[in-house]
Amino acid sequence: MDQDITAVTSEVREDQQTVVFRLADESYGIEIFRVNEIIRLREITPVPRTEQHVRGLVNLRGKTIPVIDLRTRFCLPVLEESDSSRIIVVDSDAGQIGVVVDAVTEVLTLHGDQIEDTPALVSDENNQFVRAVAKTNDKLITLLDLDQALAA
Amino acid sequence: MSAELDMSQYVDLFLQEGEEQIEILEQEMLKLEGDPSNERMQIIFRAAHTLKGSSRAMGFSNFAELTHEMENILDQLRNHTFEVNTHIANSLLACIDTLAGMMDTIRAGEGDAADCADLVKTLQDILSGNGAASSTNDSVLVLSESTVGLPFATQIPEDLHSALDSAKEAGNVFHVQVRLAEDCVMKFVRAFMAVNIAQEDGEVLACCPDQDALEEEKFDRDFELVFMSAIAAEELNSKFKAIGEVEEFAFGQWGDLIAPKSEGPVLEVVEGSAETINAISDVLTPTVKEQKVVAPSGGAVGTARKGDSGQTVRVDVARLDNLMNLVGELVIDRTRIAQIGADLAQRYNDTQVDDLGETVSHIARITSDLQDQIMKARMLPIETVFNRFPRVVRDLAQKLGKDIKLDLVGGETELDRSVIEVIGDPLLHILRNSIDHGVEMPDDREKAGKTRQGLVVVSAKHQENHIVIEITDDGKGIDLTRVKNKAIEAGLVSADAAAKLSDKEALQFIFHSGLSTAAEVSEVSGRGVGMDIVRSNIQKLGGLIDLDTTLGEGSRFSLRLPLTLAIIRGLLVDVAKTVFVLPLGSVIETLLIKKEDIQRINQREVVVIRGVTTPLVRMRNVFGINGEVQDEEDFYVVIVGLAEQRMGLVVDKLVGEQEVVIKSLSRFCGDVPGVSGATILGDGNVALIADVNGIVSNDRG
Repeated sequence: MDQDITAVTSEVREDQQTVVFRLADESYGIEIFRVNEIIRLREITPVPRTEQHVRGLVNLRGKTIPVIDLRTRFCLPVLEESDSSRIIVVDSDAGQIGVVVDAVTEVLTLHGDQIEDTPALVSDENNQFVRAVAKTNDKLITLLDLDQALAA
Repeated sequence: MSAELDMSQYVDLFLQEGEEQIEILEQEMLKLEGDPSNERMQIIFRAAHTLKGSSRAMGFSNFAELTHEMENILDQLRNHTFEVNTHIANSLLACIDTLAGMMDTIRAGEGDAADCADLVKTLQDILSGNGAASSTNDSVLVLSESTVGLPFATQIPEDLHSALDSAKEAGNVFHVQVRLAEDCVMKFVRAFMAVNIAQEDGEVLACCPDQDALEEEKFDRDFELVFMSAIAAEELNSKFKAIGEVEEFAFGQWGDLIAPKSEGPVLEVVEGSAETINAISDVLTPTVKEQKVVAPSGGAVGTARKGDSGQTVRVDVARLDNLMNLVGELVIDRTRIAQIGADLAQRYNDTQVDDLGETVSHIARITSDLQDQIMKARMLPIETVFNRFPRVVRDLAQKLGKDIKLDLVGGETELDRSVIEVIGDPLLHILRNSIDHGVEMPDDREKAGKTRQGLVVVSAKHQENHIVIEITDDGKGIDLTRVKNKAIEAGLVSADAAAKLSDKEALQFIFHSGLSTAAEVSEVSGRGVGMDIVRSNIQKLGGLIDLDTTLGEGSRFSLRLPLTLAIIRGLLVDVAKTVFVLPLGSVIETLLIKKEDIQRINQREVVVIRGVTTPLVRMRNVFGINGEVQDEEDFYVVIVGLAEQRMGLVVDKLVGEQEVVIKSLSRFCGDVPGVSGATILGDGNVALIADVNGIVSNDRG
């Protein structure tokens, strides 16, 4: 099994394994190698006097890691958390950071020919967080530039 | 060659031990002036000697030369050829400073390149000026009387001679004489290489000089060994040849090289060989210790500390820190398990749950013990900080022309490394201040009816979970009127307001940056920055600083510091359903006050507690937490003190008291004013640790 996968990925170099998540009915993707783990939403302790999109701190097995809310970050309406809400724990320059998303849908292998540059018409300020756009059979996936999205 | 390679690994060891020895030197030198006892002299001499030996072994010739000159003087002092005076003490202390400087450059990998020619000259002048003709240490055996070639002039007692003769019948007895090269930098190592060869498959029977002298490098260039060995003569010969830095050597069977003389150093028996050769046991003199195999590493630096190595282990600080972190995790989980256990016990009535409860409480106990032990392992006596003081006080007093006695009390009081590291400078600042501004000149003291000698006491003691350090002087005290005037001048307060200030409040200006009550700026202090730094450093540690003064009688600074910075006891408070931790060290008391107790002064809420007007701060406002407005009859107020300030924090509820492990906020959050860190509570949730200092100063500004 493992060998099969490596064989496939080495054939097409631009293939990307992507974690796909949902945020306000849109699909977004993060490179899988940036993702540490995905945990259920848990109690988040707010940290006063931080930026709005910083939700606070959570306990990740004895470590405290900050959590940001991508909805706030992308100026989307704040939604009540549901059962499907998740925290994606990613690596960043400032250590591990949790990202709250509406739901994690799947892990996809995107082929190089599925990935396109950002269309010019999507030119609002959220644009800076977008690295590229991927087309799959049924939908479009916005590939996030994680570093931009996390940067203050 | 291999020996030289090995040496580089020992630089660290050399530095470590060297530092210890230098510290001993300094400590004892300072005490020596007041109490020139023989034991003290011996300690000093030994320290200097060890330094000389190890620096030579490491090839730091400047270092060795300086210590050698020091040793010469110390030797004369020890023999009472002349007595200690201020000039000698100053010179020796200057040497110690230079040595410490060299240690730094050696650590930086730059060798011992300091210029100590002046010092050496001073020392030599002292030596010659006192008619001590010999510039050579009399404890160094001079073998060079045998001017040409080998064999050396060695006295061999007759009975030893015959004993060795008879030993020869029992096995191969060899005799080796070595003269090291003039510029040999590691004589001691060479000697040991030779001893090791001899001991490889045999035993050293006799040597000259004796083994202690060999080990401590108390020989000039020559040494000789008589030993038994099972190794073939040719092989031994080639091994001795490979030692290196040898000018010449002779090797042969016992008897081949003998040229007995009636004078010169005596060939001495090695004690350890007694058992093997009965024939020579009757001539044994118990002069040599059982130090048969001494690895060059240990011997190079550890000669003065024989015997105590079994009691202590050196541990890397990083390892202790690591251990502390792990215990921190354990403490968090302990609290968590205890809480889960309690929840289960409430929900189910089951014997198994009871068992769980017992196990949990056992684990809790063990974790506490473990935590205590590791905390203790990280503890250092505050002496390590105090030890810097006598020198500072002595130098300062001399410079200022004051006569000051320094008393250090409670040096054995232990506290955590992390605290030790940061309190040194603040304490030194206060101490300098006391000496410079506090204690008067001897003449002035006399006029004021005091003894000419001023007294400064630095004391440390444990008080609950804290350490209290007090610095007291019997000087002139602080003139509050002057402080107020200065404060007005500096624009810190208006003249009207100043007049209304209480003494206690006026004293707080001492801690303001840019305010110095010294009439003129001296080299020592008076720039008005010292006390500011002191306060900020103490606050960073979560400590309190207090100051009492009586005009004409003296001042007392008292510092209250936590014992550690890794795990603290905290008071858990509820603010709008969010739990915050207030470091218990800053908490003075908690109160329940009525709504009508709250008064307003200048738009600020205050409450009068036992006559003291204390400003109130609502935690909700501090952290901008919105929630249903508190409109109750009673309020919980936590009175906190930071440094010299007191303030009441209004919280919704008091939750409890708990040990919490401090975790830093993620770099992602940056510096959050009012929050010093985070921790994990028993229920697994994260709680923020409030930074009382931040809250207080935020409220002020």
